[in-house]
Amino acid sequence: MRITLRLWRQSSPAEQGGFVEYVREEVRPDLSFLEMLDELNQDLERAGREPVAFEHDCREGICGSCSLMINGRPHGPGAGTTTCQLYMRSFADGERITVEPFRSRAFPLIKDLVVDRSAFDRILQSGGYISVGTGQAPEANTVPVPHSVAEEAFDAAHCIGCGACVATCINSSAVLFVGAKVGHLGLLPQGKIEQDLRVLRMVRAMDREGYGACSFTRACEAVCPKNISVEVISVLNRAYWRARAKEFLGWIKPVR
Amino acid sequence: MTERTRLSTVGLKILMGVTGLFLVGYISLHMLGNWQIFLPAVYINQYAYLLKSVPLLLWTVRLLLLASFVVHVSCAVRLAQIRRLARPVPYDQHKPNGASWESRSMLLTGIGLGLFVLFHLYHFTWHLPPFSAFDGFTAHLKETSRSVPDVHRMMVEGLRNPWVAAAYLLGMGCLFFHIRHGIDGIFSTLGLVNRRSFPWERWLAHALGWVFFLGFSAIPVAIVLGWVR
Amino acid sequence: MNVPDARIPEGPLDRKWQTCRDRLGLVAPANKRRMRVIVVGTGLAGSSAAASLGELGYGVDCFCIQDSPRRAHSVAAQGGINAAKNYRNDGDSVYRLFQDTLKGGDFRAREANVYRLAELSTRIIDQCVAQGVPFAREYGGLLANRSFGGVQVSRTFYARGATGQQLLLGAYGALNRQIGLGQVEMHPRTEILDLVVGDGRAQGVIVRDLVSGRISACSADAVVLATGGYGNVFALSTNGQLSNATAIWRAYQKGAGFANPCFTQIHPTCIPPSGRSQSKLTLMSESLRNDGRVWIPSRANDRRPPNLIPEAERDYFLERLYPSYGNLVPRDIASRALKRMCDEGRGVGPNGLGVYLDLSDALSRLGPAAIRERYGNLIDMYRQVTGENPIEQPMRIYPAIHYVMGGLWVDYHLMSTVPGLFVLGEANFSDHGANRLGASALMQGLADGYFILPYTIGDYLSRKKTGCLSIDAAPFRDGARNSEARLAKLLALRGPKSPAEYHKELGALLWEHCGMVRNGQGLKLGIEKIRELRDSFWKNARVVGSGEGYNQALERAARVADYLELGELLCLDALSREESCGCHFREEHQTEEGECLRDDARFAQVAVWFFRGEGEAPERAAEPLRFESLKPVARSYK
Repeated sequence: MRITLRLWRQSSPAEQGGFVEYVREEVRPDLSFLEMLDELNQDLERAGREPVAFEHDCREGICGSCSLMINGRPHGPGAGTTTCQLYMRSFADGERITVEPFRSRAFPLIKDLVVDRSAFDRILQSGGYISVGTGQAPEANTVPVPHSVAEEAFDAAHCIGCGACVATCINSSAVLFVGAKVGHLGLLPQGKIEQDLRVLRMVRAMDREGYGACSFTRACEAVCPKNISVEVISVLNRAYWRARAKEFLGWIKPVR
Repeated sequence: MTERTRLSTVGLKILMGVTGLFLVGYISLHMLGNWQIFLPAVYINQYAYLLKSVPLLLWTVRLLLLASFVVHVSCAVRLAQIRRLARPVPYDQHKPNGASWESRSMLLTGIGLGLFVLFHLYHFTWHLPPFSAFDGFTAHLKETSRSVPDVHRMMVEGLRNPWVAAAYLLGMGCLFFHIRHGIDGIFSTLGLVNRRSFPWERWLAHALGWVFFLGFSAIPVAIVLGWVR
Repeated sequence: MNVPDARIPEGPLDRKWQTCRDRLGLVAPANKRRMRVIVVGTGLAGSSAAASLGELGYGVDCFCIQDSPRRAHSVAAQGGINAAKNYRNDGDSVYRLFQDTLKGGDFRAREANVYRLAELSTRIIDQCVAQGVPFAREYGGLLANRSFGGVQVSRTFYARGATGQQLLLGAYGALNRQIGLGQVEMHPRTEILDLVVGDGRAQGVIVRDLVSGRISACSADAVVLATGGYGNVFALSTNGQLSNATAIWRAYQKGAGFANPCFTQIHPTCIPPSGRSQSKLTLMSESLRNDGRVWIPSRANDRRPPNLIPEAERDYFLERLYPSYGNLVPRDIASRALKRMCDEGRGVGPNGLGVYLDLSDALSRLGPAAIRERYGNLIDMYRQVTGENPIEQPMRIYPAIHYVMGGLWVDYHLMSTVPGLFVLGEANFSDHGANRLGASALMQGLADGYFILPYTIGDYLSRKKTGCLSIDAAPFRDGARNSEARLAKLLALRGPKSPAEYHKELGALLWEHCGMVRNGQGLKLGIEKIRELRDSFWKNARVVGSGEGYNQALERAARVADYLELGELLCLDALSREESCGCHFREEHQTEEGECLRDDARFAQVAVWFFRGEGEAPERAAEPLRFESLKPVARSYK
């Protein structure tokens, strides 16, 4: 296969960035997209030029490191996949492929195709957990959890924090990500206890990072590598207005 | 304002949804009222007279509408601002990725709808030039032999002009898309959906969109085609 | 050099951990607040340790190389986590888990450590459930289990095919809570360049901020390494691309003993290698062997598609060779059997490197819906990589490097030979002997981080009378200078080859000479070749860019340079262990049936290697292994 790559190159946030074209000959269809970039980088390095910076780690679709916007779609063509699971057989011979970094104010660019997604971590640090200390836990089977609840909680908990939802959203909204965590923990009996506090803190932390609001285009669901349903957004909204009403009416203490 | 008292993005959407829902409620009644145009003229004239004869009700509704509208629009302005700030560097290529056209164009259809409402008020409420003649249309109600504004004639005269009718159709087109996605979004914003209810709530949103579009558009179409005189 | 005392308490096996804990020194809460601990790595062991230490009141500096702690490679573990809960009423117990693990490791692990692991396993499940880990449930709402290799009971807890992810997110949640509370300071995108040792104890680390390129020092009362395994030394493995050996290799060079480096696990069920530019091998969880049957055509070079091969011409070789465990034999046994079959020319797939893993029996027994619920994400993953659907045709699998049992030597307190340096999880050598059983790595990582280190580190800290060393002290200044010099040396390389090419060559060498089967001659040759390759690297490699700012080429080059040294130690260890045990199969030492032949008289010991200086041969010392409760027997799964 012959592929023309149009890659965003930007050596640092301070410098001006732009697209650079690379033509790749004899690309094998069973090569993964990232392996194709590896080959390009190897050639660039041999020629003494700076390789293209991109993020990756597990290369099996679970760590959430890879983050490319490929031809206008996060993680490229194909549903329920990450960039690392994208294979060159998904492209046509002679195709021109545009690769950009994820773009959002909350994801500032570091270099080339690498962005800083620590905003997600900060949201979770504000309340995306169950407050249980090591050693405090009761026997595991003390609290039964219905099969369907455990399955639904897993579906939401499967989020890998890659940021594709934000990247594709016209509003750069992070509600699918936040909703997935609020949904996962709020479904389980162990997590229900702090749900009000959690949702108020997480929504405020989300707003602090500068994400937009949700206008329910459902593009996030369509590009989510883990097929997380937009129902988690509904769960988040429901949990939020309930908690907010309680806070407003003084039924719970004002949340920091 | 502190973070706690300021509206969150979720809060903004909830306000947007609730005011939107109120406006949808209003236009449902508005449409039902309008359909009296298909009955003899006396029905709609009587109805209009009835509404005007209870100024408290009329102005309460008008003020509520205005308030909803203002809140709805200011939320939209704030959200548009947040949206613009949230992505300072645009993409070179950005596919919709499953997002429908109407869901991406709420601002556009909303502005279209706003302009239409202004035109509609200008046309039928304020009767400003070149529609000043509407002020002089009067009819007599048989029971009271009182002279009341002839709304039936105003509508027929007002919508007979194909350009005006086209403007109305365009407005209803905006309404169609705005409502189709708006209803869809309200369910989510108010936290009322789950995976199993998505299909029917979407169906409902689309059905309502069509009902409003066809229900309102039927009037100018019927008038232009001369079915209503 | 002598191996220090492992500090295993006297007394009966099931009382040892309690005895140890009863005697540990404690640190008063007010003193904990004044103490700082460095935790490197945020996988299961690192996250759980950092969170638990934060909860106790220590100030923690936690480092990870990824952009977020949640991306550590524990996230990729699929199948499950073992615990001796006996919820299935099938005769499981702490003793049986201990027995299975010790036997599974071919009697090359410490009895006391393994028993403690089995003992703690049940509390891990409790902890994780309380954190909101969505384990699979029965319809009554109680926890479900499945079985795993090398075991005849069902004791594995799982969350579909992403157990590692869910457990890690649980620990990451606990860590996030401590970060939010200010107990833990998180330093993502930061790589450890060196361990700082002063006054005979670990004093801190030298780190490089991967974004700015700035090198700085961090000082603490104790250092905890939870940096995972070094499987990436083989270039092609199931490890994440960022997993590396730099931190433990530096610690080794600073005096920490390296135990059993040649114990590298080869996992039987991975998607077969496809080509030259391949960057990693994808694991298909061992749990698939619960419902999948492994087979090959009975005839060699049978090129028919699998569905055209009639039942009578299929050889379910694991079931044939090991009737009592069948498809669920331990990984080392399965991998070697698989390799033997492929060597006989009966392998399937484009290059004959592969066997079938067939779900069709289970599909007809349980239906596709049940199979999807159990293995949904694995099926998707296989389809994405190969373009084939495992529901319609059998999967093809082949062994690949997956895990390392070897690592830095630690005593019963998880402290290395450098006082104040603790090592957790895959980075240490402790509990799996010569072969790890499936679903035990998660158990070990969490046991170390939640329930062992928080106790034992207190003992060290309670005895430490001095505060942290200032980062302006000589050891820190020297450390930073040396690290800068090393990076400068790498950046000066202007040869024709990229470090990635060296990495691949090294990996191929190790796979050939120190892979699934090893022999004395091959290992000697391998050592020669690795030395040549290393020399060539320092002459012919090319590292582009500068030390300032984000430079992935430099990061990779530095890691490859370490692999080139570590690879030699692997071979040296494999050469000196003249027996076969678990994953370490020396052709010279095998039974008539081609199984491992252990030499308990000479090698019932942990080999501990000590660094003696650049260019010097490392020194091998040994810690003898004593078995008091379970006498070593020849391992049989027939």
